[in-house]
Amino acid sequence: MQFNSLQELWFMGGHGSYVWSAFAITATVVLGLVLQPILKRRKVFADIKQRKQFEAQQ
Amino acid sequence: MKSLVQFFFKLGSPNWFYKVSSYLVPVFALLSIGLMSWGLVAGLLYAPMDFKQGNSYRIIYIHVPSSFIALSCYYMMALLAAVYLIWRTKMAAIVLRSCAVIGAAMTFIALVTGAIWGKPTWGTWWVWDARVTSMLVLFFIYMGIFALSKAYEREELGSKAAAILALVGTVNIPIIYWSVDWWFALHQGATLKLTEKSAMDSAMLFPLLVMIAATYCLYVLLILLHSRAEIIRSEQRKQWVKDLVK
Repeated sequence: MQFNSLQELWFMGGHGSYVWSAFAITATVVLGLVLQPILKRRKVFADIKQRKQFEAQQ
Repeated sequence: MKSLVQFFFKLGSPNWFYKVSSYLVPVFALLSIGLMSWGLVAGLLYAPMDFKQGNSYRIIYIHVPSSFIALSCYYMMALLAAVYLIWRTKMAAIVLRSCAVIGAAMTFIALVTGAIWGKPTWGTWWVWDARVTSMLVLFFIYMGIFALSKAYEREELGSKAAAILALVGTVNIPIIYWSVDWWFALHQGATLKLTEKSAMDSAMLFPLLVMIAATYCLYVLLILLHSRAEIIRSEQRKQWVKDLVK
């Protein structure tokens, strides 16, 4: 382990803000990339279901 | 030989791709989560500090893997563009669109983390260095391909235009690849070399290799997720997709 305390890990000898902001931005973009297709698929499935119900009523 | 031809024939079928990929998604999800946690703990907590750059060098653990994917994604996209233009395989166009989105995001990560790393190392957020500039061009090409693929009323026209732009944009790839050797400017040379000993200490190198493997798994996972969603969207009027909804 390179750091003796959480504070030291957070501060990283003055470079903490650079390192952690780089990791945070990356995590946000990756999360968006994972969620986008999942939500899109869910929406199309909901549309299909709605159409099916509409057809059943006819 | 016959079975190989059959395999490629099946690969072109959205229905088959959707079914087979449903088994691959959990595998690659677990692989990327596992490898990424390992790589992040090793890189952020255990790798030694760089004597010149201090702790800021730890950005390498996302900067280098995302840059790798930004380029690999383009190779794959250019190949798919050729396949689409020659054989008009619908699946090629679907995966090409996924590549454009993922490639743009990875190039964005590479550029942003590079800028953040540049501030404490070079004293500036941005330089018009050859590699940085050619990566910015790559980002615009990815965005252009995605925009073109959505720009036409008829989907096939959009796919065709996007495939042509993807092939034309290939010119940029060798420029990025050799930019650090051709114009020796601010951006440092390659850290990883296949033919000679790498310029990095093994205690720092090992987490980087784990992160590269993790990011490749994540890349496969993202390709599968995006292509599956796109299959469902474009085939939503087909009976097999309707049957998926209870």
